Amino acid sequence: MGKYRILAVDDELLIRDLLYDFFTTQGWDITVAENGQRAIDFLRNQDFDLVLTDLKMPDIDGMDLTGRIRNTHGSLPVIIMTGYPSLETALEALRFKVDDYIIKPFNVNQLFKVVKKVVEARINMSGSQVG
Amino acid sequence: MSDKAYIRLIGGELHVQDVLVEFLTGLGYKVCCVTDIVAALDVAQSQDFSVALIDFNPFAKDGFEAVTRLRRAQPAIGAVMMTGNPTLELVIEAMRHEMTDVVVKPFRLEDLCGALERAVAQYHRDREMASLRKRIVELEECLNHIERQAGKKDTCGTGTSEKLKLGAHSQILALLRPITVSERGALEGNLEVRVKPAHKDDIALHVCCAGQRGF
Repeated sequence: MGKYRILAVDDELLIRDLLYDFFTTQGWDITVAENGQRAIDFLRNQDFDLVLTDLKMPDIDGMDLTGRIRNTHGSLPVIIMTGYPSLETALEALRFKVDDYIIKPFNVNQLFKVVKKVVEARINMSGSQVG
Repeated sequence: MSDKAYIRLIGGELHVQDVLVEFLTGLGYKVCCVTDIVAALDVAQSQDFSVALIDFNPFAKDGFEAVTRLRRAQPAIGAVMMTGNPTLELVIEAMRHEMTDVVVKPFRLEDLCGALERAVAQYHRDREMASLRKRIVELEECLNHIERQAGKKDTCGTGTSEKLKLGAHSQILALLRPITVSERGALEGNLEVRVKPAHKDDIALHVCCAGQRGF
């Protein structure tokens, strides 16, 4: 099987660099985007196995991005990260069928386990790849 | 809302169950109540239902385990949680268990209705996707068979080879007709099936999943 492909979206450079270095070390193919619009542009032109997005971003926030992903990419796995967790945003994420909700600050090893579990579960569910 | 939507109401106070049964039945749902998870699992073995509406207060410890076990019996079933004690951790856990919605008590019946409609719609989508996956596997098997047939030496002249190809083409089209669908909403355009000849003597089957890889 080829590398898993992940799109990470966060307006903080530190987080983007952390995720890029870590997932690359793990042998994953990671693309980083600094905002929701950039993420949408990437999604238009590339395939990903999962989107990992910050919640609170200017203009297109993580929830808005998730809604757009649901419209264009169906059940593509999405994990939300946030430093401002709330019951309301968690409920909204649930209704958008978000796969997990990670509270910052997070342990990057724990995050990786969650991401890997979601991706592998989805690929196992899909069965044989068709394309 | 489909009149075939069948809701299993699990747990909760009896007087609340009575109100919900009357309300949901009035909307056209078929509703069945069970008092506990064990009963729900027993019935799930023999009856197909669209949504499990689960009161999580009395079953907080094993509610999620119940959802997992219900899905083993019926993979496409929707699951809606009712709770009077919502916490962030509970909702995140609900997300991880792919629950469709969490309805916080006290709730308006209209809000519950909205949650159930979404859960039923998701149930139908999941069932259709499972059916489409199965069809793709059938198509792949058919194609493999055709390729094996086409690989056989044509010892009877070109006529037999042509008949094989025409037969194969009809077979593929017959299988494809029910699968060439476009779905509304989030799934529209995600599945596109095309049959085109890659070479004048070949029949090539291209099954493309636009957007997301696989389903």
